[in-house]
Amino acid sequence: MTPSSDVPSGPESCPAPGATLGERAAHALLEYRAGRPAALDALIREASRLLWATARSQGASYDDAADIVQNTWMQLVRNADRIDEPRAVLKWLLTTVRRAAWDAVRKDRAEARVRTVMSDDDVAGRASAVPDPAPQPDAEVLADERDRLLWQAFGTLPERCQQLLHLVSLADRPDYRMISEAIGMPVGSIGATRGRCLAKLRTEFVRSGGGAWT
Amino acid sequence: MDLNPRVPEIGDDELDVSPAEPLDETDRALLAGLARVTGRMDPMPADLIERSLFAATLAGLEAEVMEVVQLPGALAGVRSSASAAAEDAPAEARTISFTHGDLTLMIQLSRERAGQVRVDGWIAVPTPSYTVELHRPGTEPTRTDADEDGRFSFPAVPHGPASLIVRRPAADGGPVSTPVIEL
Repeated sequence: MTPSSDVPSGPESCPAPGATLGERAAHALLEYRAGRPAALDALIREASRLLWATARSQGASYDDAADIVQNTWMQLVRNADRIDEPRAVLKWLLTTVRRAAWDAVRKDRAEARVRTVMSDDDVAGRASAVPDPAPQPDAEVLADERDRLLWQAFGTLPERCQQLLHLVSLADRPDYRMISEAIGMPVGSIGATRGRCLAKLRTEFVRSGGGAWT
Repeated sequence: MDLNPRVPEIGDDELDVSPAEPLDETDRALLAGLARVTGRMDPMPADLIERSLFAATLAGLEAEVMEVVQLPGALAGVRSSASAAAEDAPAEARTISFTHGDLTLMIQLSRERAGQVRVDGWIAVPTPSYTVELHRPGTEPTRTDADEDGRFSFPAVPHGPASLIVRRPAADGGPVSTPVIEL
């Protein structure tokens, strides 16, 4: 099926108000299958940052993460008719990103090992052997003092907590199944973990002088 | 994200608020702040959404994607044998070749007036008079027909990402597209 300008744009159904991101993603896929790509465009605008954050949280470099996000949307289109369970499309997207990120990280590490072995300059070789797991925090970017404190507080959390809260913060109505797929945490433990992580962030933020955030 | 190992982690018994509480206003404000802060600390490329929309549109055309032919050190040779006109091409001219099965597509990009690129192409198959489409993000595709020698051109294309699609009939193998190239 190829949506194009030839297809008359019929009356577009909308996802129910208060729908989760997962529900909007399912709606977008069904619309796309019916020859109406507008909802998919909207989903790409809304969810690309979540896909980006997922790729980055798995250790993908800046360039790899950008390629992964783009390729994942392409694969969704190519497989639009083959995804059996439209309700699971967000899970499909996040799983695709996560696997691609692992592959990219493995490839980077293998190449870095080759460079290390072949490099005459031992120092340069060692430096390039270290993959780029996360952005270098340069808190200068954060003009607001409270943003800086929040970033600091966030940095003190265990990595699991950071991943979880980061993804929760990017979905306006977080759904645990989606997050479970994104970071591979058992779905049953997410509610409690989210509560514990958020409570830690809050405590750390207040302790560092951030005060009440309202 | 960056862990700061100097700060001891807060234990579950040291929390100011109970983790079992449902999200309250402060939690929501913290999460909103977090989304803002992580967006500044690790922003995605500014054009990623535009590129993703373009990639999805191209994928929807269901054309097989051609491969770029790597020409290590052979670019100059290909350029001179491709066309004598290339000799006169400005220094910025680039030649790129793509293949898919028995089809080879060669394009030469040369700088036109400010901000525009001339695309000259050549399809190398026995009967090459196919329609060629030029796709760019956010615009309708432009079309031209290759002549009986397989030559075609898009005389003035704005800079930016683009993809060419060769509309072969299904009997000849169906449509093929180039990967996204930067004009």
